[in-house]
Amino acid sequence: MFQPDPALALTAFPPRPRERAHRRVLHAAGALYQWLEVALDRLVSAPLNPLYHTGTIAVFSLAVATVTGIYLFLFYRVGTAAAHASIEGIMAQPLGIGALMRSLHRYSSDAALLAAALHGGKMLLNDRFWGPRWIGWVTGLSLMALVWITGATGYWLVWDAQALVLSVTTARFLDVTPFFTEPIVQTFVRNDAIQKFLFFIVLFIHITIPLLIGAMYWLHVMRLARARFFPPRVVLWVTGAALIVASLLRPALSGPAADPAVLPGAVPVDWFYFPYFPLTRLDPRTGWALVAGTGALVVSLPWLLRGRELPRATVETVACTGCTRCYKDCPYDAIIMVPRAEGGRYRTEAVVNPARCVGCGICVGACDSAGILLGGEPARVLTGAVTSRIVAVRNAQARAGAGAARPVLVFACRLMPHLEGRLGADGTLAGVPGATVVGLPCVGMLHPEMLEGALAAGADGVYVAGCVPEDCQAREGSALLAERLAGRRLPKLEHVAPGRVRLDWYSPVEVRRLLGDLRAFQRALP
Amino acid sequence: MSAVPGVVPSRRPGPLRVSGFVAVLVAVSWALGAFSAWPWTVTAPGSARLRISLRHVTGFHADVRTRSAEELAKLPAHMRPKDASVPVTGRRADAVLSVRVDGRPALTRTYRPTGLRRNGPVYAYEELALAPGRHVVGLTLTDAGSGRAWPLDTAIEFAPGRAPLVEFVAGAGWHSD
Repeated sequence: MFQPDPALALTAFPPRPRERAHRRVLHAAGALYQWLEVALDRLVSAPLNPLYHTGTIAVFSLAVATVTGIYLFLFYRVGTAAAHASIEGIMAQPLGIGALMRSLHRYSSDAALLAAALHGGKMLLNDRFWGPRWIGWVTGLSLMALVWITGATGYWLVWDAQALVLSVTTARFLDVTPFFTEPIVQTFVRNDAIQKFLFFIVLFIHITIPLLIGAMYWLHVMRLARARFFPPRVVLWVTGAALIVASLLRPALSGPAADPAVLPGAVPVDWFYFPYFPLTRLDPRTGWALVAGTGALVVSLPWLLRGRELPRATVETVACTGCTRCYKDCPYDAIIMVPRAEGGRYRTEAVVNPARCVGCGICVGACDSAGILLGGEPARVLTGAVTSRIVAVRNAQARAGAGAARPVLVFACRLMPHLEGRLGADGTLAGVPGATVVGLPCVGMLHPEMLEGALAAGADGVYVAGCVPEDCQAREGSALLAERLAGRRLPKLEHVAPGRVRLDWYSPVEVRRLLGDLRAFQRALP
Repeated sequence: MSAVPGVVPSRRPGPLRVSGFVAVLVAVSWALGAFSAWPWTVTAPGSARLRISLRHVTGFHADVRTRSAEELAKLPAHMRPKDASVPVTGRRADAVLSVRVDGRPALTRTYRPTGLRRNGPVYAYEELALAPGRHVVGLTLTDAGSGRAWPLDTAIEFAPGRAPLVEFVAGAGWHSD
């Protein structure tokens, strides 16, 4: 009887060492967020779950804000009296067109900031903010700051009671710095002291910052291949419809015209943009300490909370045929094709840029010639580990005799940390006899031949538990594997009997659903 | 089409899920409308405030000097002072503001001139919360160097929710709304 080599079985992807305490707290918070996503998945289905499309919803909302902003610009007038009057004039336009455009402008701006904040929170809680992703994190924060500035200046331009509160609180905040000789707050003591020029400056900032947002967005997605700008069509149309419904049911209104001689009393405040207003009652120096401290902390999170170094991909030049599949499949544009230095049969070869590589292994699954190493280990180590696992399960069954559960090989990625308590040292899974689990950085690492090989080695079935495609940790791993297994993408799954391979998608916390599906798959095996 | 059928499950959401999606976005749109204009009480209803704004240029009181004839000669013609005996630089004196409301002291504060050399004007802005009604407000701005003072005593009606402004502008003195 073949004795599996436990060392080999664990060489490829050993259990990760215990994380540091602050990382464990991050993962626990991440699990809570994932349960929220699961709840929404069950209500609206994963493809429509807005929590998976926050980034693209933010971009779409900004596009709506830009288009409606151009319309409003045509009718806007500068000046303390003229600004407020021109907005009221827009609201009174026939057929409610002006009111609709103005309300869409406001609500799309709110939706953009809300979606961007949720997107950032998701990236943090799902551990996608450090290593090569630090640029996405830092530019994302910059984008939020720019969106906030353009939104806040937009509120100022209305010159209503909220704008005056914004002016005075911001002025007091800035006046404690040594940069302004004359206190800015004195600009707002009388309406007739406020010059039209100030409105032009604020309008200029309001209009030009979106250009900076465009440039920053380019930096934000520069490390992504096939970056998506807008959400899927259904999500886009329904989001747009929701903004229109909000605008029609609750048109955006201005507060009373700003008058410094009148105390504001209770002011309608946009809490998406100004959640800090209650803190403005503190000393401005305390405000600066809070802003500087929070800002520095958030910006430095990719280094403060970084995990262990990722196993990066490298290309074994002698094996590379220059087929470009890895180059086309890499979701992070981390692979480039270069002319082969030493000549030979193939004209080009793939080269991995380690600064961009997140170690997902999708390139390993795309490579027919096993020419890519992950963490210095070739794909055959994984194949060996898989064979070893299957043989171990079959041996255990032989010892158990008749009636033993049928051997099933399970591949999983983000579920692994949540499965750890149920896994034996040899990969067996408590609650599903006959199953053995192999953890991968991403299921996109699977070449269809690995699945075919596992069946040939003695597994009765292969079950792949990937991430929800809209929420793949490596962006496209689940979707690329699905295309390979469905025969829509090279390399294709071909030589497998129906019912012996199954792919399904799970949130990392959906362990119970996986166990149920796995038992059902095992029972239904041909 | 799948080369091997049944490997990849269908993901097309059913009509019930699409309805759930619409319901979620209706809830989000309600939240957008509600929280984009949720009232916040900035100042207590019915309260009143006195606003004081001042811009004043105090006299020099330290490191005072006039320009020498050589220095004046080096200056472009349009920058030469009409009266060369007037000091042009030095440290300006502090300004002291004292406020009395209905005869009782309400505020006394000293303001330093602006600028790294303390040779710029004095700027200040203050707000005092007062009960609505008529109050006799007494303000005195004093040049701490020369001792010269600019007093103002006036009765002001503080209507609820109003914040009258009393302003001191260099050269023009006090004036109120």
